[in-house]
Amino acid sequence: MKTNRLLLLGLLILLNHPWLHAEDPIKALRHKIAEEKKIVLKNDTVTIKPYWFALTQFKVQYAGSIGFASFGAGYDLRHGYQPTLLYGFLDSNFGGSNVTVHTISLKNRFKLTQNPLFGYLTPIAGISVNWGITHNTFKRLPPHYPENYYFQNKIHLSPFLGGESLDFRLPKKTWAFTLSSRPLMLTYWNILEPIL
Amino acid sequence: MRKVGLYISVLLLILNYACTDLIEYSPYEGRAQEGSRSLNQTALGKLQLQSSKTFKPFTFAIIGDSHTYYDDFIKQISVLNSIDSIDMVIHMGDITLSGIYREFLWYRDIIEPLKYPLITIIGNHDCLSNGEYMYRDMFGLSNFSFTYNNCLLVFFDDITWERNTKDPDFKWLDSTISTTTTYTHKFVFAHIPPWDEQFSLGNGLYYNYMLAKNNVDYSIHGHIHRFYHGKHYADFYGNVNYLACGDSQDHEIVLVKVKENEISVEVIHF
Repeated sequence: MKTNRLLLLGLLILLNHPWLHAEDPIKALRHKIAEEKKIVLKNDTVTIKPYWFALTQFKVQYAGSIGFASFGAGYDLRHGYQPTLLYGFLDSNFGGSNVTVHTISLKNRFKLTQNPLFGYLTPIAGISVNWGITHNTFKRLPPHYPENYYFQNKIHLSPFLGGESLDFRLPKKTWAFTLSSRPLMLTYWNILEPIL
Repeated sequence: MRKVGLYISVLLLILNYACTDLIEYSPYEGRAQEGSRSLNQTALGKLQLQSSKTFKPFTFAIIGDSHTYYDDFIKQISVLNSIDSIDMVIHMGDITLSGIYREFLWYRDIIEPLKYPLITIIGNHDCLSNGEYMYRDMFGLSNFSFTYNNCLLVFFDDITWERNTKDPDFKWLDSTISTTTTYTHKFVFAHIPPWDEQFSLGNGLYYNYMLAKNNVDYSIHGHIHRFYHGKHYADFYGNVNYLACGDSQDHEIVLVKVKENEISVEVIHF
């Protein structure tokens, strides 16, 4: 657990480091992604967004069934849908587990309201599809088992429900903090999400 | 912005220190929580204090395969608490369905009110995912033995498929039960009975031969999800008694009453 605490200390330093608070790089990147180019073809003008594929969300997550810490990126699509692909890591130094666990997670996250409730809280819900890579997990049973002896134990679905508070009433929407719980397992997770 | 960083860090620190049971890093986590380690060792310590060097009659209760049947398992624990004069309870394994972290925590919470020392052996389901690591951290070694009232109780890990091996550690079993010390009775506890499909025919017969050769009175199991009491291999070799308990859904507790010249089995239905 020592590393656990060291990591938190590191996070504390990181979050309070001046470069995170300089708004120019984020602003510049946001402009770059939104940039539109106009191409004139004969008599037609075509408007294209050359960076349409650019990822718009980068996430760092603590806990939440996909590792001690996880990192990933995704998009903020229409109707409040935010798909994110994350990689999570857990081992003896990071999380204190006696065995290493790697997890790939597709987090399907939905904002439940268009505008924040009471001006600052946006309820969120969704489901993660988690692919665990560790000891003795399988999607198809090894050949020495009779058919249907066990159900697969490599992929887990993880529904979640929570709230997102933006900015803590700060002028720019740059950071979001989310605290969610999985209704079936009563597991809490919390997320730091810089949103471009 | 600086304030946000500070708020988040403080919240993370609070969550990290205060809510260890609420935060789950992974369903595959292989780490028992503080205060939930070496539970078998703790039970053995209690049993050692109440054990005598010479034979004294005693009773132990057998339960097993409680995975997923949590409501029934809670009832089973409460019924066990209402029975007097049990020396110990032995859970015959399969405390989880998929060997995942949260299932071990649920088991720990359910057995907490039990007033008798409880020994938990490993089952095949407990070896899935990182369950084996979790078991070792939470309960200790999966092969162990101890002496109680001059009787030898041997706990044998006979899981093979989940480890992708063909044979359990027969060498350890043989060396443990072939001791030169004279015991009043010998018992072997293992999750899978030797006639199950996880044992090859040869391994099943060899297991029975080993027990018969070393005068083991009873071989006790779980896994088959139903009660069984008989001399399974009497037609082939020896006179070893085999006993298996059902799962928690069967609403029964098997009591084994050990006297100097007689061992009787009683099934309590609830």
